[in-house]
Amino acid sequence: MNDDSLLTLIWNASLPVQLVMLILLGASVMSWALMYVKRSYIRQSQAEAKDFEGRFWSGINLSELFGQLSQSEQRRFGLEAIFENGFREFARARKAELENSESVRSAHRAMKVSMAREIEMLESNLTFLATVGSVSPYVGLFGTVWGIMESFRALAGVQQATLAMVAPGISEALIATAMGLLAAIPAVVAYNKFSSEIDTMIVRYENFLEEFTGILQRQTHTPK
Amino acid sequence: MFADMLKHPRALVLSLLMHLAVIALMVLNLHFSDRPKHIKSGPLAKTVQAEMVDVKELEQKEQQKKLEAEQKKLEAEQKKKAQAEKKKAEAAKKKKAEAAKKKKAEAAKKKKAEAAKKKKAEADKKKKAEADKKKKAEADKKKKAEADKKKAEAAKKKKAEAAKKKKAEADKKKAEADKKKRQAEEKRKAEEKRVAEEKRKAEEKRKAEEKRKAEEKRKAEEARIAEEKRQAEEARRRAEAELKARMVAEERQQKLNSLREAYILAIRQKVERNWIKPAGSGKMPICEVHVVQLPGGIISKVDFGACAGSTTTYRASIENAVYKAEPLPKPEDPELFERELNFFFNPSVQ
Repeated sequence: MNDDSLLTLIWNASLPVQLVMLILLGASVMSWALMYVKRSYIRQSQAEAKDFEGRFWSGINLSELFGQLSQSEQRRFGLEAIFENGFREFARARKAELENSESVRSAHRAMKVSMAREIEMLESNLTFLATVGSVSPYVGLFGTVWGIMESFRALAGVQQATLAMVAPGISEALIATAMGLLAAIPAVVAYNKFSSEIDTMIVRYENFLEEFTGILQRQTHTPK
Repeated sequence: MFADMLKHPRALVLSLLMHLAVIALMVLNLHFSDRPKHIKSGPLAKTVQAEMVDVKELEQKEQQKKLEAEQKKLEAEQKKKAQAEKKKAEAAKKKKAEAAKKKKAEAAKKKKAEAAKKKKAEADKKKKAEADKKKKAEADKKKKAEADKKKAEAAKKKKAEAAKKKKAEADKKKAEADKKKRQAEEKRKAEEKRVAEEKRKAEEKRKAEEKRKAEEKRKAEEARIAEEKRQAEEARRRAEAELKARMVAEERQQKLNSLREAYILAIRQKVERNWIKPAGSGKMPICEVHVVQLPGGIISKVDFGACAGSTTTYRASIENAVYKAEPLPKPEDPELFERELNFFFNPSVQ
């Protein structure tokens, strides 16, 4: 086996450095898995929003749309969920013969709650990515500092110090920093991308909410 | 989060596979250094190390070399000469050494003859010395006898002198005893004087002490009075300060009260400005409106208190006016902000 092989270096590292490397590896695996999950969820939401907006503005009767939605067995999310909750609340208020403005207000409230739930779903676990992105370089640096400390301490007892005595130790310690950066960079990139995408999604939801409220308000003024 | 992760095992597996692939790549061919290929061993040409050299220096060096060669020649010649001389010197030495040996032998013969003469002379000397010793012993005996006589005479003289000395000492002792008596008398008198002096001094001290004590008492009294005065002054001042503070607080309270009134008035006016008279002309009494607001003047709830004989439309119009007045005006002093407000809506003011 070659003496300079990366794996040998890792294998020969001291225990704390190895632990740090293990933690970083775990963080990297978790963050990549999370990236796949989040990416697919955000893609799904975007597709759903586009689809629903197309249906909503196609001039379909709202009660008809609501009927279609409530018939489907699938779990609803995104704009569909917001619309359904708002419309159901509005219908209930009307059935209870509340004031027009009151029923619009209650529908608005219900939609707000629903939107908050959707946003929460979108943003869940994003903090993990942020944490990995900001912390793992420090963790790697800790491993490096520890390793360099060890190798210099080993140097203390020697009469004639040569570069060849410290170099492997420092090299093995630097692997920890490399791993920290390797874990952090994708996490930061993904975090930034996801958060901007989620922000646009939130704006989309809010716009829909206001528009729908306007439609409801208009409807209350037309005779029953 | 981990539970969430377990819901998507596919993602986890994908991520794991990716990492494994990266690690495998490393194991396969990511060595840190490619070993340099061994250069074929063989007689390697010696590398020429070139150096910049001045022509002048070169000439100088050559001259030096010549000089050195000449010197070496000279030295070699000198060495040869020196060796030849050495040989000559050694021959001369040998001759000398032989001559010296002859001389030594002669000297040894002479010495032996002299030694024999000396021994004879010593034997003669010894005989003379023994004769001298005998003479000396006789002379010593005579001297001892004379010395004994002299000693006896000296002892007699000593006894007589001792008797004289005893008498003289007895006289001396008597005189000393008298002297001692006189001295003791003098001492006693001096002691009496001293005691009297001390008594006088103690008296004086006592008097001074009494005076000092009285002075101290007077001073303490004065200090106590001053302290009492100071305390009284302080108490008065404190009371004054308290009064002042209370007055300031009251003033502030009054100001706040007026500010609060102004705040509520501003809200009421804004609501009334936003009110639209409902179409039907039912009863429109003064209504007590109860508003719950969030920081920033956002309304979270509107209720009605005393509002006797009003119609629903009238109440709805007031409620709409309140919502239209959102955000409600802010108080001048943030301290005055209240989550729950009550005011009286008066439709006739408009």
